[in-house]
Amino acid sequence: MSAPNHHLDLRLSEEEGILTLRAPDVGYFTAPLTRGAVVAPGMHAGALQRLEGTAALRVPEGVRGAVISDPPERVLAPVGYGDVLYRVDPAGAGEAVQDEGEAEDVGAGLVLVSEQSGRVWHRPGPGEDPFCAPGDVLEEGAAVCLIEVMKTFSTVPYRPTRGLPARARVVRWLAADGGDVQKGDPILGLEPA
Amino acid sequence: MFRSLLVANRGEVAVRIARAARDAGVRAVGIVSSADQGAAWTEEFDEVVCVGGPAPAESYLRMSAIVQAARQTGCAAVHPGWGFLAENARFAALCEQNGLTFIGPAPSTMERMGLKWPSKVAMRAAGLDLTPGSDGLLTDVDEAVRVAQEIGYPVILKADAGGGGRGMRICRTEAEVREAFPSARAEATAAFGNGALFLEKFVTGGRHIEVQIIGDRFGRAVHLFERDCSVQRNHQKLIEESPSPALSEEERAELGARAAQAAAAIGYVGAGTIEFLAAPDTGRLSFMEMNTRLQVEHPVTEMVTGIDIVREQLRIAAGGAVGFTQEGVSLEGHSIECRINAEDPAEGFRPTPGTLDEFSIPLDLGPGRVRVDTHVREGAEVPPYYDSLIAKVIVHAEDRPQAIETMKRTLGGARITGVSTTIPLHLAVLGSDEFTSGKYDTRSIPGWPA
Repeated sequence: MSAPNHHLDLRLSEEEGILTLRAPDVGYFTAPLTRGAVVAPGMHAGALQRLEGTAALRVPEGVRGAVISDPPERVLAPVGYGDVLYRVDPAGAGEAVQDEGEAEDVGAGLVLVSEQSGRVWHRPGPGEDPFCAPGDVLEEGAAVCLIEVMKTFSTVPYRPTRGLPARARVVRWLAADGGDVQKGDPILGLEPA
Repeated sequence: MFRSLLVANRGEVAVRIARAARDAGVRAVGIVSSADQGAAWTEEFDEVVCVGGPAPAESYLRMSAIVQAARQTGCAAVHPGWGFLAENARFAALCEQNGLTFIGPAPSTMERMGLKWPSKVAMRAAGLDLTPGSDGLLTDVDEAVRVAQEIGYPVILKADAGGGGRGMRICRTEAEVREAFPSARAEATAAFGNGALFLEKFVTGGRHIEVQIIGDRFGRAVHLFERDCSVQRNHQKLIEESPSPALSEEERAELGARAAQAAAAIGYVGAGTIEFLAAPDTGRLSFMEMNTRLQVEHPVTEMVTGIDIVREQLRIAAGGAVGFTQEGVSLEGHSIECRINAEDPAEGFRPTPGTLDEFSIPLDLGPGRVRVDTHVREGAEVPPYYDSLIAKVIVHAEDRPQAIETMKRTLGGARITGVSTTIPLHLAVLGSDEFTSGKYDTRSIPGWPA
């Protein structure tokens, strides 16, 4: 994928208090924000690959809240003009993310989600201390956990992207030690530090 | 054959192509504007991609968005239908650049046939007659006057890159030529960036007769006889028929053979139509232009020949040969098509978008058989953004009087409410002596007050 060389504003519509951000054109939707990400006007929220090149998708004026929809399963998801890319709950900005139907309290509403599907390990090795624990403050680059994908282990670092702040405090683990996650599943509940 | 095909059009023609694709076992992907999203006709497609907003420039004319839609839905070919991008050589080239087969002739053929003088030169070299006129583009006003004197007044100056009447001037005297030449040149330069002019004998009236041809990439071209499209209003065809009541058997055979030869001579691949003007006095047929696409009125040809033209287009675009020989094509009976537009004939043919409260056209009133090509049904919306064609009624019978009778009964029994339609006009034409006698020309609508 080539780097974005221009940007397009997402198209905004509103239904029953939920903001809907729609594709501004036909193309492959990629690098989406995940569920729980906080969005604000001017932010980039994924990209759209078109014949003309790759456009960064920009959050339009008047949109502030938390993403309450799941990203597409495909890395390059074909979309048409007007297709729904995100549903945004305006009440979700800086507050609890309401995961409908689930009672899980994820604290101050920020979640770090998995970039890939695999198995999460909280500790660098058996019998060792976890990478992080509730109350710890994470900064860019801090190790969060290991993820095992097809027998390969890699460290998941904290990154202040997708609506996460530069510094965040761990509220709780949302993925079990040794538990399986899908791409986009939450790993940690966080709050701004 | 392709596995998947994108239809870069909407409405009636999109439905027609989707059905041909399905018959050929090809998955059909449609495009829509946001105004057409959810319309009943989109159900004909296996998949639909919205390519933009309601205005054609925001959707059906967006070349890159349409090519992108074809790519991301796994299509190998694009059928442009008619109108919109169907004769846009740049769109054809963009498809090919992106690995998509454009269902039509080569972009270079489209380009050549899209310009007036180059198409005339090509067709004259291929053996067709042209309307008498200048031998190429005019160098100056003196040459224009000399040519006009040779061929006789009235004459018409035309812009090589013309369209929409700009750069066109009818001249009846030398003084008028001298006066019109500079202004026509200036107008053409301003409108098209090309001030080149040529001159022709100005013909009023006459009949519009066109020949359907199909060529393949193996150098073969056949004709499927002619269509007569002389019932027109402001150059918009209203009724088409095949065969033409104005041609004898010998003239028909000769015209078809010459058109097929010309198509082969220019290496034409796919379905195309060569339009001729039959002079009002002599009946001499001169080449007017070539349309490098499927025509709205193609069903009348399908009815009299039994050949599915869209199916042939798909076969040829997929690298196949024309599926029949010239000797294998025969013309049986007579077919007439009436275009049903959502327009009010009583109010200057004002378009009448709206909701179709009722929509039914009887198929069984005889004596001939009836085919209705449409994308609408009861309850459908006719949006205000696009052309007003809502249905084509096509009849096929043993002879012309039986075909006319079938059409009269069918249209007389049609119930379409919620929008005005051109049916009253068609019934007036079908019931007129001029139309039934077959003696009329493009200047006026037979049976309809001017």
